[in-house]
Amino acid sequence: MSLLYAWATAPAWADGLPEPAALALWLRVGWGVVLGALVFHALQRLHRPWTIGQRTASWPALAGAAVALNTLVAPGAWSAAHWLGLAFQAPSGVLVALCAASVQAVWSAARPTTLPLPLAASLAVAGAALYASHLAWLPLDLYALGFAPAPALGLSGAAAVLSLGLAWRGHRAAAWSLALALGLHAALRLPTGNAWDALLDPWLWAWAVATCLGRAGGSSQSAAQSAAKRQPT
Amino acid sequence: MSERPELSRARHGRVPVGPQALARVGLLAAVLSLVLGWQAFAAFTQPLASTAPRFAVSPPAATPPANALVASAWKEVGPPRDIPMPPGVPAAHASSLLALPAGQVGAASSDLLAAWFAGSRESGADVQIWMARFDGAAALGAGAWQAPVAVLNRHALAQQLGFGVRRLGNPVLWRDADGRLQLFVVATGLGGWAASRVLQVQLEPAAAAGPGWTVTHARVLPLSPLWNLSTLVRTQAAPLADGGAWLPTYFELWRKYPSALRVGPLGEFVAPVRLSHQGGGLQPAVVPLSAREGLALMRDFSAGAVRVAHTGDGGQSWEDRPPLAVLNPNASVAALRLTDGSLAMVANPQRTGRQRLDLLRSADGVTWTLVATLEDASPGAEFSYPALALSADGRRLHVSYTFERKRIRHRVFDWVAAR
Repeated sequence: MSLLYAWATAPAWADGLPEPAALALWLRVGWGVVLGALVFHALQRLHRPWTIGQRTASWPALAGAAVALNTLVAPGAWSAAHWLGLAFQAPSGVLVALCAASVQAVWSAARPTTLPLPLAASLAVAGAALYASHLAWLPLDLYALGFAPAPALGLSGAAAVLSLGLAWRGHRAAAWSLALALGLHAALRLPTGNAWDALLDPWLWAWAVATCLGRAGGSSQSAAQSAAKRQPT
Repeated sequence: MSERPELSRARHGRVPVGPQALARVGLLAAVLSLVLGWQAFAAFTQPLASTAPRFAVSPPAATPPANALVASAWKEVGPPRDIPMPPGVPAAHASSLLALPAGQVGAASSDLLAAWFAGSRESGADVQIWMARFDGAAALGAGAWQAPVAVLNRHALAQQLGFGVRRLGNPVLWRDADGRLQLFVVATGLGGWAASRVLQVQLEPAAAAGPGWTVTHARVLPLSPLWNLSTLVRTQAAPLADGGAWLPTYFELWRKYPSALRVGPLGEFVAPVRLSHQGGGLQPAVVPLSAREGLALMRDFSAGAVRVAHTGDGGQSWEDRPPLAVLNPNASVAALRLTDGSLAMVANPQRTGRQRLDLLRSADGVTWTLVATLEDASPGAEFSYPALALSADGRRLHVSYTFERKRIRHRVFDWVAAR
């Protein structure tokens, strides 16, 4: 069971799943960050920052913060977490961390490479195998391996190696996102106790696939333009 | 603002070689080592996952005498009775039965618990999980069932879980090794039954001698990576020798398939397993043949015959077997192992419609003989979603089923010595 809660609570079930209270909190924190980031990115493309006296505020940041705050503290069905949990359960640690990193990158005016291609490709391939397996298109149950001690540790180890590789290539945000997700899983068993769910969820997989397709499309376009330039006139 | 150097190098695929970068990677490596070490320690100190499961069979399996497999070996006691319905609630479905041992939550040795869902209609917003107790010591008349009590509603569950619950259904009762009552129930997300999840709820009596129940703990079971959708329960848990159980589940999206979840003696989540790699088998009923061998008898979504899977290692792995000669009109079956080692099954034994419901018995799980026809009406009638429970002494068999989607019917069969 999650070691951090062992001393504080008397759990009903001492197993590898997260404490229900920890999961309920993660729902609010995780979706708050994801929703806040989505609102921020959507609005910051539309609105320009405005100035109040000597301080610069921005509508996108305020709106994103308001949405995040609502998700975190609003009671019951007033919180977006109630509805997002109903529909999509809890987000993965990687998705939450990448969303936070994407806001930080834009806020600091750095060029964001939040989901670098190596990570996107890894998530896209892993997710395709996982979901195909779960839909019984493959003759094995990959999701169940996420609960088994040795395979889950192997999956986490592979994610750790990927994290180090990303850090070595300068993708710090992506590297630490993986590390944070692994840490949440190890310490608190979030979000589900399954190693797969710590690293991947369907929305993150969609983002990864879109990133890969976007890069592939961009590469094709660049290659076509380069080829056109080399053509004799 | 200019781009940070490491980002520029990252965009251009260059490897950082400065001491600061090395220090950051080193710090990350140290953190990851700690994390993996913690995960390994937590994972490998869970003993349940590494112990091989064995079915609880008592006494050890033995081939029953041939003359026991006759309809006269089991005789119905008393007339069929309906479990009392909540007042003003028109629809009921999907009952689950649990025999209680003596002293359990104030019960006598012949007592029984039933759970089902009821409301204005199936998938109605007002559907709740109801429970009632059968007083086995009372005269087997209409007064033997106590008044039903509401146990779960989606609003209270949503408050406890921290996320919304759209609909409830398919309760499955189970008693853990400490005698606590646990309830597995289907809760839907956005969408119909294909958007279902499985909740695990622990109940305690609301008062020492009262009829009500209090939810002490509730959680969602992670059974799917696709937003944890489309996994359901229906049939009773098959007990294991360590006090745990195999809880039959099934996945209902796209290529439907049956599965099961091993739970520990106190309801701990241990491991899921897929029962069949053929699509279309649903709502498996897991029955042990011996400590290691067992069968999963399944509803056939393509409306053919009762499907079968077999395990020889206590449920850790399963292989598909040929379907039974018992037809199945895409309807739920119930099955359990009797104390003499034979198997009982309740099923709708026709290719279409659920207007006939039979109680069947088998020595080997392959060949089935009729014990009693529970219902046989004109096409269009529905008697479905059966449940079975065996009294602690093994001499009384309880059967319940949905009667025309309006109430839950209860029948009792006593074992009589074969001539």
